[in-house]
Amino acid sequence: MPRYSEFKRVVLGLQHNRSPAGLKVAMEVAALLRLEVCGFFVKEEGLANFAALPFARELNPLSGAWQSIDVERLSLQVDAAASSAERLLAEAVSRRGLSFQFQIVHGSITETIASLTRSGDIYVASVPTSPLERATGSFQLLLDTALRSAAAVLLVPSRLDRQTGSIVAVANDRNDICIDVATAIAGAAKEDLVIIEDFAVETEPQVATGAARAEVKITRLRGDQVRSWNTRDIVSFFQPLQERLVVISGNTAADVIATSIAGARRVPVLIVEPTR
Amino acid sequence: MNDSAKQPPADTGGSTGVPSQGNKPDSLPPKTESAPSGLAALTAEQLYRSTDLSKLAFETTADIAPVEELVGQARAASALRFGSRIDKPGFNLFVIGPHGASKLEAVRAVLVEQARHQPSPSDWVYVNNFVDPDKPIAIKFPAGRAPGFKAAMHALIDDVKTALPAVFRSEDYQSRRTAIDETFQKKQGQAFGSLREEATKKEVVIVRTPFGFALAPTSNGKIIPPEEFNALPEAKRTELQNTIQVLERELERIVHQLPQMETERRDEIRRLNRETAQFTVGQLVEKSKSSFGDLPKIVEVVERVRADLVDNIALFISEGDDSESRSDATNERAGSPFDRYDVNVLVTQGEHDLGVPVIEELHPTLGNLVGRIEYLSMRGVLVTNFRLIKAGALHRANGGYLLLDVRHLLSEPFSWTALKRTLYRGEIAIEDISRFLGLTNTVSLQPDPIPLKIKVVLFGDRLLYFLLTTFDPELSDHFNVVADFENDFDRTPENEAVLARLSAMIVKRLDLRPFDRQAIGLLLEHAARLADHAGKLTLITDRLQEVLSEADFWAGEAKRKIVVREDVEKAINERIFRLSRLRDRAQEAVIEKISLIETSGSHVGQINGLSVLELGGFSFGRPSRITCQVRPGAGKVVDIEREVELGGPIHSKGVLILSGFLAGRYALDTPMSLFASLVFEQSYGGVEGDSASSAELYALMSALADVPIRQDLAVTGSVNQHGEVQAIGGVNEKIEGFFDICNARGLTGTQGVLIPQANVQHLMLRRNVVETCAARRFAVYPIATIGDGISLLTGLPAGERESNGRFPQGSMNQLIEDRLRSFASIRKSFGKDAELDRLST
Repeated sequence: MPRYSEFKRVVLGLQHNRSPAGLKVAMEVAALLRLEVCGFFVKEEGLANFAALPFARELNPLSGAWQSIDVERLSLQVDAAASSAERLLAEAVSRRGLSFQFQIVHGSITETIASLTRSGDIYVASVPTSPLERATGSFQLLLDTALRSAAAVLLVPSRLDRQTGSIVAVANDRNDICIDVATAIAGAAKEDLVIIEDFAVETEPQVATGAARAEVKITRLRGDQVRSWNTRDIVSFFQPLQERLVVISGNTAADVIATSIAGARRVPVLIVEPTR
Repeated sequence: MNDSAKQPPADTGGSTGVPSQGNKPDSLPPKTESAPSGLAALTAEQLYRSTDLSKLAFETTADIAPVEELVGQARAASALRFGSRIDKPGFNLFVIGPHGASKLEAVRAVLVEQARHQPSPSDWVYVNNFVDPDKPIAIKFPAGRAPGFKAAMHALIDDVKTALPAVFRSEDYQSRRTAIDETFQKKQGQAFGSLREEATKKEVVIVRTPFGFALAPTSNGKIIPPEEFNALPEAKRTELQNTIQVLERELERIVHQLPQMETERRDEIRRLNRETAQFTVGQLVEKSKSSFGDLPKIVEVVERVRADLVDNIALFISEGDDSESRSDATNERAGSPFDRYDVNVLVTQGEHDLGVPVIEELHPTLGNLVGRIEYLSMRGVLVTNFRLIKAGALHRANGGYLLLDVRHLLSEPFSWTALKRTLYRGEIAIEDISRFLGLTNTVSLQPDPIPLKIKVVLFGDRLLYFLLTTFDPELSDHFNVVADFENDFDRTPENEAVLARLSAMIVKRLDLRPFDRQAIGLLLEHAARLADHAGKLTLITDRLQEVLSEADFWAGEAKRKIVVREDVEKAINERIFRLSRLRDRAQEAVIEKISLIETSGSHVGQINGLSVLELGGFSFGRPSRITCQVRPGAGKVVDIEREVELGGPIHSKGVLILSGFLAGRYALDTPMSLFASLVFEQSYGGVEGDSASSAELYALMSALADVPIRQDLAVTGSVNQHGEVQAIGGVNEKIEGFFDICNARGLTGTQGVLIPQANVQHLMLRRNVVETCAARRFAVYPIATIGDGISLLTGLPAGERESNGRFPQGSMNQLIEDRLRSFASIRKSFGKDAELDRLST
């Protein structure tokens, strides 16, 4: 079972569709847990193939106009986007004094995630802002890939409602790993910890990080069948908590409830120990 | 050097302003008898009038009931009552009078009393103009209610700051907001989802490019490489291209719908926000409004605030990433976004005890008068808003009285014209002085003018008033009521009692020791001396106040709990001593015969005239030798002072009157064949005034008659062409000036001063002068005509023209006339006037 102390890196893709919220949350988590940041940019082969087709053209959503794609120009644009991504990451980490690495990978993004992430990583999956972006289907593919990987997944909604507030752990049992991770983050962030106990036995949850626990105010709440809640249930329950981050362990239907919480509450959800 | 110049005044009766026991003449010269002409010297009672306090029983001022300050000012009081009560435009007051007459205090006391019984005027506030912020709106409130409105608005905004974020964080709002977002996301998702499904069916995918989106053909889930695509049959390639073209059109259509969808979403959210805010804000606004339901204008303002709150809820709530900027925006400092809902209480009557305000503006700059707009420097830029509008004196006095010193008003740029403009318009418009001067070009405000209902009271001396009436025709448009303060009032026992009560009030106000009866008596006598009239009392109370304060000090030095006459006397003497250096130097010059003045013997064509010098508020008399030379000529009396341009016009006029006198009295049947020259000996400064004209005439008559004039007498008084001696000013100082010289040299008992009979009423001489006169060792003679004077000065009768048309033999007039006839004869013998003129010049 990976404990919070086993997290080493925050991994995030910095493609054209990167969201400001994703980068911001990635930096915060990395800073709180003192993790290395690993950014990558994928030069997709499929895109190069498409550009070489005689009828290839692209629709610019800002102007609403079509323009032809030139292989050479596309290559230059991709190179420029990669440089821009590296520069962006370097600036973000330098503000927080974090160490980082940046990679440019050739291939597909899903393959890259699968190959690049490992146990001890937190992969940052940012929900695209644009509906058109979502329509490409790449985000869902990417999320599925990340959830299948050995890394924890930090799901970041396109817009954040709060920057301060409690850290919430949605625990399946008293030994749920999410409690340990949430305690560590709450201690680092000097925030309260709320444990939603989705288990029948009313025993005190196991909070492993003793030092962190001593500094964190812990509130325990009952939350039956959390993973089956709909959006309204989530909003209703979470409203008084004014949370800034939810930590959930990656058991059955974790991705569904994580997406629901992130969407309804507009807070990042960290899915630890994802289902393999 | 005269001893009196060396000694402190307490020891020198010679320099005191009041009769003193000290410094009596050392020797006992012969006593003055009636003049040879039979003219009687004035008695001691005529030289100094003591106070009669029989109308006021008291031991000390502590026993005296206070009196209103406007005593002896019936004319001014009447004007004040009229001017302050008449309620018509243009009837503002202009209070004029001598400096130091406590005009301001007296008028203020009257107005304050009057103001107390009038209904309080309105409060005024400025609020933001949400439509045009550059034009703040002025709102009137019943007296004292403006601060309540300000507090209510503060409470409203504080409540909104708390309530709105809570409401927007509520489950209900969040659910509705999420529902809207989801609806539109679903709508967009459905549009793109359909496209995606359609594309997938036809083995096409939507691809993200660096700057856009594209549709690409796939094979086995991957984009077809170009070599594979080129290897496809022509028909297949064409079909794929056509398929992609169709999908592209659909993609284009959906993308073109996105902005509209986004607009609809924002509108939905805005509608939700407005509904949510309306409900919350509405409840709070109704609560704030409840206290002002009787004021429709205020209700209107609150409604405008309600509308603006609902339109600007973003000020109160922020969303996610904007939280940092919100903490900045909510900062309660000038320029904060919540300032727009503030209330600038310009004037409120709550702070006054009176019914209407009585405001005195000591520094009436334009800004202090009509109000000003202040600026804040924010990041190097000058900014302002309605909260930085500051009230001027006109705002604070609106509905009541504004007291201004006209000299201060006129010396401030733009203030006088601004005041007139404001009175003309009947409303206060704040004017920016920096714009007048072109100093700044920053954004400014045009606040609503505020209706003006005010009574302005200007204070100034008479000269300023007369100059303004002459040169500023607008003055009479606005200041129709003049309150002219008297310099003095009649010295009746009743009025002495009134002034004693006024003095007692000053004593009380200044927290001085009580003054005993004798001390007050001397003070009132000093008041008569200040009025230059034994039958008047000065109303320049500042001078009395100064003596009272100084007497209190000397009483303290003497460890007395009650101020006595001796303290008042010392106060008066000390004041004179401090200022009398020049007088003492002038007297010293006479004693040391640097300035030639004889006080004994007699001389032809030479007389002691008297003049008064006033320097630094202190007046003293000084004798001057006047001489005259005569010889035949063309009938011209030459004033040497005028010839060398040291004589002023009034002095020259006096000398020219002498010619008229001579021509009308003597040798009526012969031409005037006289050349005479008159001069003030050792006079190196200017000579002005005609008070020496009688002395000049005596000198001229002496020279013509060749009869010597007594040098132990000094003369003052002007003369007309009929030989009547007329009143002059400074009679006390003149007498004392000659007395001091005689006293220093040793009184002979024959010395004295000839004064116009009309000046007898003005005599309030120093105690040592009075006592010396009472002992008949000095004399003051009242003179009505030149005949009386020349008889006294020469010992010869003047002589009245007899029935034969001639003056009596041996009389002064006969001698003069004979001399003039002899001059005529001489002139005739010469024959030609021109030749005589040549000789004359």
